[in-house]
Amino acid sequence: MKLFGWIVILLTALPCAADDQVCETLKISGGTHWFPFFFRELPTEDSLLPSDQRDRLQGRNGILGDIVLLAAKRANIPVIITEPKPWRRILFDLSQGQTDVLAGALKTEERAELFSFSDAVYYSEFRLFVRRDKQFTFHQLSDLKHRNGVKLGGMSFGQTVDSYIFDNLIMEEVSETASLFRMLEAKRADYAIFHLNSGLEIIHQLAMDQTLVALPNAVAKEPIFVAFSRRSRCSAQISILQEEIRHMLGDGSVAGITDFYNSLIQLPPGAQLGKDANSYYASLFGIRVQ
Amino acid sequence: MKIPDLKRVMTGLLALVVSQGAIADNLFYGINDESSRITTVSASKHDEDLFASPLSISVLTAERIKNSGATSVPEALRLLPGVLVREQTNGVYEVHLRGLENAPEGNSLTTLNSRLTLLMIDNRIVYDYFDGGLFWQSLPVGMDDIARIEVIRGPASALYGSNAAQGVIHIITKRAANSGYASASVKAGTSNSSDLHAEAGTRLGEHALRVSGFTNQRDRFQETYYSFSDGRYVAASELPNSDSFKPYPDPNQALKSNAISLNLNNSPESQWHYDISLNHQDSESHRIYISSEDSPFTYNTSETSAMNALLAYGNLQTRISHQWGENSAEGFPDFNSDMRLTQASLEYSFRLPKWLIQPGIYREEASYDSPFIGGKRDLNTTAYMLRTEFTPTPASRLIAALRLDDYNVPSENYPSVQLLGSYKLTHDTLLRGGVMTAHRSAFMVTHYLDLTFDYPGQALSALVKGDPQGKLTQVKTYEVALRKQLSFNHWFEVELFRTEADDFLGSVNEGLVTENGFTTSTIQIQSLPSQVTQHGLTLNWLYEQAQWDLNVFLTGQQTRVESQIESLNAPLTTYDTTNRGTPAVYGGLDFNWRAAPTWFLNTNLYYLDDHELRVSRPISQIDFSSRLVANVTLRHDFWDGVSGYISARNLSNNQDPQYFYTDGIDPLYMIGVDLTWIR
Repeated sequence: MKLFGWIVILLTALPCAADDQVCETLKISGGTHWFPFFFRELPTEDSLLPSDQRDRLQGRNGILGDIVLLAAKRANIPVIITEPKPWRRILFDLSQGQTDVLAGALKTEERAELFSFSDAVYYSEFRLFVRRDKQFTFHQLSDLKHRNGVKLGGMSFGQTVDSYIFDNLIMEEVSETASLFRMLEAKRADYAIFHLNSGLEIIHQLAMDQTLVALPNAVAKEPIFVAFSRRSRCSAQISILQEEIRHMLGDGSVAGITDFYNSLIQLPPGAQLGKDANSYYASLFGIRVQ
Repeated sequence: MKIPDLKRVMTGLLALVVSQGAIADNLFYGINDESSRITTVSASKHDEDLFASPLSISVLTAERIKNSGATSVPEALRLLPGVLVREQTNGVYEVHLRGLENAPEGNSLTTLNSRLTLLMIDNRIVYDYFDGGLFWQSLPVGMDDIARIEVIRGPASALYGSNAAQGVIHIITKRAANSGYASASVKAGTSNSSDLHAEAGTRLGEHALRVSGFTNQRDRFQETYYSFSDGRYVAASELPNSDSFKPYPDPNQALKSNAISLNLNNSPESQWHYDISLNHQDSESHRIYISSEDSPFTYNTSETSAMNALLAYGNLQTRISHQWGENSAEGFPDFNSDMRLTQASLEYSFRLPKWLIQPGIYREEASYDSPFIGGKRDLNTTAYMLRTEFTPTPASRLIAALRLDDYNVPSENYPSVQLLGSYKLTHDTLLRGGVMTAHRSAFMVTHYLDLTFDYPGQALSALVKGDPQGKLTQVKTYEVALRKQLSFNHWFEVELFRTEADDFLGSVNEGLVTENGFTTSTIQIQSLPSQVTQHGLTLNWLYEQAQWDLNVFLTGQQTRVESQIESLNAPLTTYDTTNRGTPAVYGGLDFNWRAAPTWFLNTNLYYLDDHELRVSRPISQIDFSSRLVANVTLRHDFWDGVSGYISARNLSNNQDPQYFYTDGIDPLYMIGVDLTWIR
């Protein structure tokens, strides 16, 4: 058993080479294809967005990505967008200080213990998705009683909604986002709850536009934040970045970015975009992918 | 440890479970990306987060198996806690969950085989109902066919039926995922070891088709056999009866197996979901199978085919599987058997707020045709199942699963129960506990054997008789455990268990009876008076950093036997003792290091403390000194779709046999290449 113990110690010690403590760049991470919040590649032809709208996204990274990159640019902080990783890995890296900034996360008590957060920069609407031929009237949560719902495992819609769902509704959980809509299309659920904008985009990519629709009233509206590592080597830069995001919320820069994306999503092609939205992107360039 | 202590803990736990808890927020949930959480289906018969699982369960993913360089399923199982793996010869293993492999000791040699563990492939039970145990060397599953392996430690008969007495090993195989792909894996190594696996898959509209096959070859590490009469290893030709029986056609061959599989399925999210598998395997191997008085090994051949079909409509699910073929032991034609095994089940999942109710019915028919059991014999059961899951608060869960098996042999019905509770103390701490009962099934040999041997030229005959009404071995386990997630991908689990088992069967020599000058010796298979109690503790610790991860697991246990038999000769005399068949401590370590983007190193260790195995027919005992087995694998990704590795395996301080007078285990050095093409 002594040998066993020594081996554990040896193996544990092996890869613990001390990390460089110098902060040269801020490492920024986010979802892989979380349109319109954070994306690394432009939406493809199967996107909900028409081609002329997609072209407008050239060089951009979504609402949260643009906010963080613009804040870094204004604060003169060099940044790197890390390679795509599973969500669990992103949070793990953020907790360990291997990623400095997460561009887009819901805030929970547990996450607040590990990360610091910006002020809310955007609000995402959770909607009910249903089959087009099985629409029903939804005004309040009690309208969902005796119907079969499906949601993403662990996803929270806020304390009040979560409590009501738990006490009163029949809710199945799935691991993959696409499963939500596939089950709905296959009539295995009466409704699914998901982010409105992301949900519409995914439905389009799954070619289910003719089958599934979002009901008009929101189930909940949840704030989206930028999260920061508490173990980052770049704590000084993070403080500056947090302050810059606060300024952007105050001077309308964040609103400009969100207006731009809202107009892309909600307005028909050719409609007027949010005021001066493009000017915020003129200065964004040189984003390299690690 | 006294029984009431643990029972008190269990009662306290269940009381705690029904108290109100705060709504648990999930730390990991993603937004639209996959959360990459590890899920399990075996513990609750539906998909759930591994961390929330109410049972002692571990999951071995395809990635971990690949990284470890494991060359067989049993070898891969050494990466999980609570699993005892002993190699008989190159590539041939015996696997036990939580032990009891030699309790009570002094029984016949084949009772060492794993008769208390259930093995399933995609929910199809793969079990030897002839004499109990698992045919690891005859699995129609190659290492590259496996999507993941889920191991439940502890009884699970209420979920999966008889023989899930000490646990369940559930192999879940891959399905075609991409629009079109093909891959091949080639391995070669010392002791003439080689393995070739190939697969191809494609999507056909809404359907997915996957075809795979493998061929596997291993030579033994030695050519000699242990001779019970000489008390040493000798050449096959020196064994008694070797000229007349010719039991070892190829003393050099450890294992040779070939298999092909085909799978067709549609999306599991469809209203109508189907999943059909067909496979065929043939294999030859040395292993301990049916007792021979000359040497422990027999040379076994097996050729079987199987079909497994799932059809689901919404929450209604039916499954039908059928396996057929022939298992033989060379030189012992009486042991050969033609087998048919048919399983069918119908289950429904009914959801209400806070409730999940799953009623079901199951039918199993096992039919074996063999001279050893006097021709064709059947073991059938109809089982009625009800599983309910109640979630009184978001933090707590209560599960009750009941199953009643109505067997043809024995005629008595056997219930199985699973009462489980879990409670999330905080979002990252889960306390769970439960009481579970399970039982072993009847076997053809134990319940149907009825043989008479006349000794030529002597007024002597021997009767060997099974007991159709023989009681089935029963197991009851109390378990309490704590899972704690210290940070992302850093967690540990401590589980305490107490297992009680009785109604073990033994072949008792009832002595000689002489009538009219003719003497008859009778061996009657019957229940032994022994009662076995095992107390154990399993620790499992996983720590992950960006470039490396470490998993350390250890089980400590003590097994006591009340009314341990002195010998198998009637009248049975007994005594109480500590059983040393299961090592007091066993476990391992799995270390993965991505040293550079294209270089990957795995080191895994497996430890068995000293222990002893004792059997009575033939009478023999072996003391096994402790051993540490190390495997090291270095993998390199040359370019997209092409990777290779070198692996040093079975590096150990002790190369003595790991099982009952089987082969010494030499180091094995392997080299391999994996090729993948995606359209």
